[in-house]
Amino acid sequence: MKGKRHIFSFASILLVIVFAVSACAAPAPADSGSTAAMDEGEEMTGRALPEDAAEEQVIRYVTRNFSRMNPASEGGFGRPFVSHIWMTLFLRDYEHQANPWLATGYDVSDDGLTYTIHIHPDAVWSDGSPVTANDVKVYWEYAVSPECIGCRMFNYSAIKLIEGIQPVVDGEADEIPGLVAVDDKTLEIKLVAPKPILIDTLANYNTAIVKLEDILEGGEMWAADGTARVNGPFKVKVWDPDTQEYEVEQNPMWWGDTKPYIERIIGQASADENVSFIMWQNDEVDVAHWLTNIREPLRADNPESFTLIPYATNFFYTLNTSLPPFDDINVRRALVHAVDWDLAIDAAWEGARSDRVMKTHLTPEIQCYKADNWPDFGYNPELAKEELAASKYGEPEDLPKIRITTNGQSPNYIRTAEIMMEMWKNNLGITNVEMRPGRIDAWGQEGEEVQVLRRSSGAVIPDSSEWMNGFYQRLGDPARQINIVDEELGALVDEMALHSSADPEYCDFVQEVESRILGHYYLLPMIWDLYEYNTKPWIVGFDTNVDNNWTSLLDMYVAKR
Amino acid sequence: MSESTEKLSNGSLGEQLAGESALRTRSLWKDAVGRLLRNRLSIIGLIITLFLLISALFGPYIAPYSYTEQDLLNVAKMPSPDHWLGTDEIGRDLFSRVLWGARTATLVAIFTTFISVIIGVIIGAIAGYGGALADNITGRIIDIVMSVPGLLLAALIAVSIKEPVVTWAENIYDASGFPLFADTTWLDLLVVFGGLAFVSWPGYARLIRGQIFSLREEQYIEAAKSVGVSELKIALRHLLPNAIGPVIVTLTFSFSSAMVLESSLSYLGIGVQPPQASWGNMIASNIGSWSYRPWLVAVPALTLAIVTLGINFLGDGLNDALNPRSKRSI
Repeated sequence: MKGKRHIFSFASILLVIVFAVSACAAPAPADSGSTAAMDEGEEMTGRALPEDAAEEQVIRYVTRNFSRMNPASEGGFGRPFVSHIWMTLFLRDYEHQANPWLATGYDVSDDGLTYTIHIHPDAVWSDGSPVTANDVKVYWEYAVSPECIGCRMFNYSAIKLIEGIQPVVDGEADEIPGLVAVDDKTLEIKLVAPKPILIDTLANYNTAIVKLEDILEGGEMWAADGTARVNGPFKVKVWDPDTQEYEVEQNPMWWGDTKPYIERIIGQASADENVSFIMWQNDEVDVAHWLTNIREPLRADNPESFTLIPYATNFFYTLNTSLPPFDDINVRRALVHAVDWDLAIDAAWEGARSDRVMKTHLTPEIQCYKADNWPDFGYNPELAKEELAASKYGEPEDLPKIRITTNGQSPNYIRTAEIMMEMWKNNLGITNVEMRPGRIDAWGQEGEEVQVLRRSSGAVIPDSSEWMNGFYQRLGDPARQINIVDEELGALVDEMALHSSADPEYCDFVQEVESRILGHYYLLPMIWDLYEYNTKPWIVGFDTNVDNNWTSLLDMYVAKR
Repeated sequence: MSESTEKLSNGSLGEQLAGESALRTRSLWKDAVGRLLRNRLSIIGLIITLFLLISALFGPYIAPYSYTEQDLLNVAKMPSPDHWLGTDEIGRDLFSRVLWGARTATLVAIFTTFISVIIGVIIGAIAGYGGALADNITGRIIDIVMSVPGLLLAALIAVSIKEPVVTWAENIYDASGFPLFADTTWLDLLVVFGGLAFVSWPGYARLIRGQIFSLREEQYIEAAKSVGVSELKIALRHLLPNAIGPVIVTLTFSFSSAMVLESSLSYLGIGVQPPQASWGNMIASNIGSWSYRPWLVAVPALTLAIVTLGINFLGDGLNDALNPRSKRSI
């Protein structure tokens, strides 16, 4: 008996060691396979490679996870090349400039209500049929309808202003009168109010054009596979979240003048950034995304591998103002002022976000950013004590229990919450606080009583007014559980929306709106997140844009190692 | 008159029997202790277990820092004279948190094991000594309870019955101001691990039942019955004490299993919640940096491994010591 137990004990230890060692070993690289990327009888003729190019033009890319391949619902990390498979009408560069892509250009009427889009005359689908204005019209009519499950196109404010779109969104009509196919290559978009960011919106990957017939054949949860028709320089070879196989290859029917050098992109999903990092160290991947906490050790060794994604984001905890004690703004203010956010974020993010403390909604990368636009923001424990004393609760022991959910298992969110709790205890004497890592359902039946929820927001359209409008909408949206009504602010937001980013008064409006939103003290800040790609030195010409899209994909190549 | 009658008559046989009985009693335990102490692994296990219990009892008093105290200017530091095991990623002293974690693990293990043993022994005794009907009914109950996966049950409890219990405690606090109910964190633990205890007892029940089935055929039970000792008295005086040896051995293994279970649940976010110190949530909160700050994971993981191994060594030793039929016993 004893002998058996000993054998069992030592076998268990051995198993643990074997498991740990095997966990340290990164997954084997995907089979590089043949260098011949195109089908027999290919239409696209190759582009002469630069002298220093490697023979094999394959990029291996590791990121956290991939979702189903569908541009209308894309919210994951297929987005780096989704606009190179199904093209958007325009494509943004690093500086947020929307450049012609599937469209050659556009005209806008003097009243700003009618946009005439010119589709590239050579554009064809991978089956050889031309890409027409009607393809765009019928696909968008589908993409905003209830039939398109999980689709995001109607979320954009400029799309909402297309004439006659609402009945289609509601499922009461099939056709949008504001979308007119003037001829095969000319699309007219009529708006009910001027919206200068329409073209910016049409550069977003969620508006990329898919062949409607493919979707109708595939059903409401359509996801692209190797049979999907495409109009961009790449096509799906295999994209299967079930088997974790992700690969795109050149579209042999690509019609553009510039042929890509890259033959294939092989995606690998890795939920553990330690594993991604080992793959990176072993040269098993050429491009890595989402190295978060490991980033600073890597930057110290290899700073030139980083390419910043010019993405504007906020990560924060919102406070439900309809639940005590957050129904009193003095409590909200006290809790913000009792935390040394610079110190907290530096520790919680292991130094990786020390200069990215979220002190305003607008980030330095985006137009109209104004430092210190959050009224009275900053660490001030004495002020915090006064504010708590001035609240209707008065003493810390009279506060009801504060419940926090991190809405995810990220150690950064958990650490931030733990630091907040400790500073509230030390500076205000508040101890009746509980935090649960994970989603809100970790609280079970107590879920409805959770007042502090971790949230994030990203400026997918890099327009300050649009982003501020989004934050304002959140304040009153019951689903967001903030519950602040400010009609005066609403009027100001409406007025702001009438101005284009070129107007001299534009930033005044944006900054005033931002200041008033933040003045409600409805959140506990964390960071302006920072996303970066890491690329190996043999990946030449890599560049990205606000949408995480590899904008320079046509000119990128793999150099000899 | 026979020789024995002669001895009885002058009182010497009674004294001799009493003396032999006392000698036998002493020898049994002496033998057990002797076996235990001659087993080197048992000694190691005993030392580790004693160290754990002392840490659990006095750890918070000897810990140099509070388990929540943060030094945000000294985060993720390697071991040093100020921080013997280093600091975690928000500057908390790892040594102090390990000591506090020992208290959490021990409390949970004692609590879970104690409740399991009480329930298991009672139901096992009923099954073994209550006749065919009682055996049938308890047997089915045991089957049902054993079909419930412990981890799933803990998750179910966490999301279903914790809230009413916590609300009840908060209402008591609102009405009475009784300080015990000011912080309801301990109630979370009570409910989750209490629930686990309620599915951990069948092992003990089966063990006791088997022991009783075997013991009740012994001659001394027959003898007790023949002189009119009541069934209850036989069960309490003779059967349970003789069946308890294997229970003690099983108890040590359950104790270490409960500690591992506590760590597993805390790792999964169901058990002890941050910032409370638990070896499981210490591993969970630092698992993201295992490749470049391995000591943050290694310290709680090795502590758990060593303690579990130590308790299992002790359990092995107890098994040898209390089971004279064991082939390796001396």
